[in-house]
Amino acid sequence: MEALDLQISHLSKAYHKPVLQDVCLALRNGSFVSILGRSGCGKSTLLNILGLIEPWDRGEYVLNGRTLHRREDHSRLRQKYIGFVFQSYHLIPTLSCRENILLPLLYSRQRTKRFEALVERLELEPLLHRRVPTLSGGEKQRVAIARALLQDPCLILADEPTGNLDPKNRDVILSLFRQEQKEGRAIVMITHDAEAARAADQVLHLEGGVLCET
Amino acid sequence: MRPESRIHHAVRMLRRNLRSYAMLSITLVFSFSVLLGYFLFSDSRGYNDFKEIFSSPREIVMAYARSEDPTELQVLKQQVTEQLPGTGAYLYFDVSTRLPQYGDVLANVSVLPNQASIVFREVSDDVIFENYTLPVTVVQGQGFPLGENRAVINRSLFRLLSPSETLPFTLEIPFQMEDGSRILRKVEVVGVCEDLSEVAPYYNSEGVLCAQTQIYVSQSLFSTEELPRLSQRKPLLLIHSNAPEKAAAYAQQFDLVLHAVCRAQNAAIGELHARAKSKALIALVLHGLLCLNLYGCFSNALSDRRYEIGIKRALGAGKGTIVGQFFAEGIMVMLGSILLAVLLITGLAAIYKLYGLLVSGKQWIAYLTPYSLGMFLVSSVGMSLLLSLLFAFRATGTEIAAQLKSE
Repeated sequence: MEALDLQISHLSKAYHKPVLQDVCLALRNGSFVSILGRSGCGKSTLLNILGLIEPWDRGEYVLNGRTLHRREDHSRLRQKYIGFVFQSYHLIPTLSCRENILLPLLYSRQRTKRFEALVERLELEPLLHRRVPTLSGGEKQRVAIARALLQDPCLILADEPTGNLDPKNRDVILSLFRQEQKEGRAIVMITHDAEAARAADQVLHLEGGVLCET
Repeated sequence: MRPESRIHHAVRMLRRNLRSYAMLSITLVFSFSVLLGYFLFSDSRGYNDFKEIFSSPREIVMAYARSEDPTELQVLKQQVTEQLPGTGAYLYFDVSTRLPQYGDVLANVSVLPNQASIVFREVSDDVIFENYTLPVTVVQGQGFPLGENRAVINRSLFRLLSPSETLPFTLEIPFQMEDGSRILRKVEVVGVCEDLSEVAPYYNSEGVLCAQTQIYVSQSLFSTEELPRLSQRKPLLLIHSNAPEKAAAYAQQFDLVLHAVCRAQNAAIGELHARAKSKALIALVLHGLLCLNLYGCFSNALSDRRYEIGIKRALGAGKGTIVGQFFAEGIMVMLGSILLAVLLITGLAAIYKLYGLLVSGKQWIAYLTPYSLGMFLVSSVGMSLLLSLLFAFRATGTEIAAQLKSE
């Protein structure tokens, strides 16, 4: 796993009105941060900016000492450092579970030995050859997490990962995140669920575009 | 775990999206078929309209006298052979005769110059029925030039005269002279040539057996005194020249029925050029419509795949990788569609040919000029490359977050 030292400072983003204002956040290996906030307050935008899939308007993004330009294509950095887990899973419906999990390898051109380990750990063996539309919500989320962890990322960005799950599946996912945190991964989790947010070491609140500690 | 190759992935995505690509392919196949079909059928029309003219030897000019007097032809012969280098001219004629010993068959006899090595079909009458000239093809036995007392006859006459169809055999031909007398010549039939048309032998109202009859004999069959005294001669000057246009210009100065293959070919080329202009215009319009059609199809296909693109880019796929995948998919679909269009049009052409043969008995030949083939291949493959690339670049033109929201 790569070392992580990510710092964003004074970061702002606006669509028609300001969404994020002067946001500062630092992440290192082993950080587990939950971000709470109302719907539409900019949580997902912040996560997308952290994940380098959306440009920011102002501010600084420094990853392992390198300042990133807001408009560049950061696909290599995403591939190397970041794993995404989404509320709506974002699995490709025309592919099988196995093909979805292995998709990131297509872009890194690296071999990995983690596939079998993840399949065993997330109990995905019976699902591997099934198509995505035939899976339950919990199963989809396990597949999405396996895909996010396949390349051993040092940062996991989870956008409401338990939002569509029942309490039992929610606990499975949260305990998995805690385990990943212990292995040295940084985790940023966006959630509405205050109880789920308590699984993190640091709970932040986003309100009016401003990120503050509760 | 070894990563999958990108081409393999593109093939997999193509297979998984086969239904939407099949819908797209219908439009693509139709579009390419219209373009190829237009080229094929317009070229074939030109080819079938003029194929006999262009298969005729360009260097041949034929001049027929309007009467039995060959004087003008003799003057013309002298002029062209003296003034045009590389020019040969042969004066010969046809006579009609009856062969009473063979059921009173009415026969047309072409009396050829001694040294004529090529004989043309259209010398058999003083009226040019068709606007072309084709060499007579010998299908059995010996051909031209004819030796003394030798003859070549056409296949239908051969069947009438020699039911056992064996060569050689002796044939007696009576020739009518201007003074009313008849001279009889024995010739040895040494060759058989193809019929001029496919009309079967029949008896006319006077009970005379009529058939496609053509006998070719040499002028050496007659003495120099006898030749000008043959009755009902229809003299013809056959000019074989490296400068056929000039030879035709000389012939035009006389009161002759003139046929120059080069003139017929020039007229055909003019007609084809005129057609080519309208063809180019229609092809341009078709290309424009095809481009619009393909662009619309790919845009629709792309909007269906935006979500997938968003996921892949979020997982670390660079713009180049996405461009590569969609380019590969686009190329595969386009080339598959081109292949299907070629098969479809080939099948349609075969059906059309068969229909023509069975219904109207016409031999229609499917023909595509190298220019049209090149234009189709360049434009279809070029369009495939261009639109696939455009399709691929457009696939990466949207922000990832927006693509993920497009589910």
